[in-house]
Amino acid sequence: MFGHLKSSARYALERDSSLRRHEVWPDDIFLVSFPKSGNTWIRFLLGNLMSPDKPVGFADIESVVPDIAVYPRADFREIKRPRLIKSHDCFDPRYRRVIYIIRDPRDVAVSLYYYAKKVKNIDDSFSLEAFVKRMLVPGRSYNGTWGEHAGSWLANATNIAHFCLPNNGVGAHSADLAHAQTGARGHGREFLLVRYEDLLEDAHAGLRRIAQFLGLEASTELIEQAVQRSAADSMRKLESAQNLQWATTRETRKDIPFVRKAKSGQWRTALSADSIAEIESAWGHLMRLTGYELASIT
Amino acid sequence: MIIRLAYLTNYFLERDIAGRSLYKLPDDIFLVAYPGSGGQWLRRLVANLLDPSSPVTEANVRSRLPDLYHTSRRGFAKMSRPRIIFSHECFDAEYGRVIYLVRDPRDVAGALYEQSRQGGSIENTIEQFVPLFCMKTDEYQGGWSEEFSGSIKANQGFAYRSRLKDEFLGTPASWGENVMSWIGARGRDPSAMLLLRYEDLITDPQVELGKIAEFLNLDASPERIRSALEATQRQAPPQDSGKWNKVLPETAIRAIESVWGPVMTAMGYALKADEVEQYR
Repeated sequence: MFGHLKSSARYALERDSSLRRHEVWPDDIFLVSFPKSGNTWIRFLLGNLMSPDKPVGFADIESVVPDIAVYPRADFREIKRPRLIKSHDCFDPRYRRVIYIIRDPRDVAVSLYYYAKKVKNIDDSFSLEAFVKRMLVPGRSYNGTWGEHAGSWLANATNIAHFCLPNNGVGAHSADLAHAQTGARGHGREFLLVRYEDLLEDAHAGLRRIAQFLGLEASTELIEQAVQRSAADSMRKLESAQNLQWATTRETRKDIPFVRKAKSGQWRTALSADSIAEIESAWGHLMRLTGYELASIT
Repeated sequence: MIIRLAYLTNYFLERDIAGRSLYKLPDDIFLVAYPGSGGQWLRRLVANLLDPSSPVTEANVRSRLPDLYHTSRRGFAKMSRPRIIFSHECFDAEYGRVIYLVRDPRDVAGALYEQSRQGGSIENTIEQFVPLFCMKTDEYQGGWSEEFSGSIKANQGFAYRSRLKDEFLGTPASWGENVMSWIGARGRDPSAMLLLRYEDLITDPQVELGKIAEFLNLDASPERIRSALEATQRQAPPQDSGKWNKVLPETAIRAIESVWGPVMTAMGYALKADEVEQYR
């Protein structure tokens, strides 16, 4: 009863987290991804680029690039426009300006596995193989599966045939990838697809591209400074100093870091052949579309 | 102010309209269709299939098979399980299993135009209506636009409005966004989404109803399917398919096909543009 009263009061005062209750403004820019796809890194990169006077840390990242699942609804009104907002939500037609970050789902699986341990969703005895099987099941979570999340955002009129079953009796067409663009375009939606792996390879070029999309002024020096300040090493240092000041890590296990390897291709050694095959048979169509080479299926 | 207080009281009592913030249960099954796609017909059909002993009526369809836009959070919490729920929303990952009904967008445009004219909520001509249907207007920001929310908000009294959220209730968005979000997420997973076409439901209802019964794990005999079908047809005959060719002006057809042509092709709807091309 008290809990209900408290949550109703929070709702009435708009102190609840925003999520779908978020009041979208037309100039809002959303930094969207499935969890564990490099979203926090890009938040830091952009935060450091937009506020160059002082390095961004975990203690203040929420006020620079607020998380739609964390930041209170009322406080969103106080942020300078255009607001840059982090979100793990699946397709939301109200989002008009979207930066979509995608990462190889095999690496996402490995990263999410350690994160699930960190936030005490699973205990140490839970195997990675069982975790991968669980990841593939739809209808279990607000954020959906990796395939649902990416598919809901990336399907468009140029690639839709790619998402249909070849023999469902409705869509019986082979997909022509040569002409496929990626991203929920149309209806005047501004959409930028960012591959985490590309950003790892050349953070400067990647950040410049995002800055251009946002219409941000970004000199070579500013980009360089943002990349330095958001490097994995400095983020690790910031995490160990400030993990109690960040809502996302406050209640989690401190023996598993939030900022982990910050590399790609971990799946090659971490995942079993069965897990790789399961992921690729479920989401191979999306991996092909976004340029991730399949290891198990030709 | 008074309505705000009334709303907050309703929220506290969980009597606010559920909308997108419905608390989902793992065994829920959702019937999803874009407005004007024959979803109401499917809804009656399924309700009759579930309980063949008493046919649904205009008066009880909302309680027999509730939708997200009229039933409160509390009302949903009290339903017996497994719940079957009607929705117009774009992809929602929390919907465990979904029956998605798609219809030729040219007929959808015709049906929605007719509906809004009868409801008196727009005074546009069809030429003005179609670009709006294609959502090419800059002012569209999502949410229930006035044109599409007409049937929900029009002529609603204080009792309803005081249960309606200020914040996002939900939106079907545009036809293409709705269809593509579902196909993109679940198009290759028939165990999580049964994809049906309204046109097939009209021409071959026995077969399509059989698929529905199987998806719902109903042990439905051919007689049960037939009686559900007859009961539904008695109450409301389905709308014709392919009327768009007579109803829509050439410019409107071209507008719809140029925005969503490949989506229509993927769903098996032949484009008029292609037909014209062949005779050249």
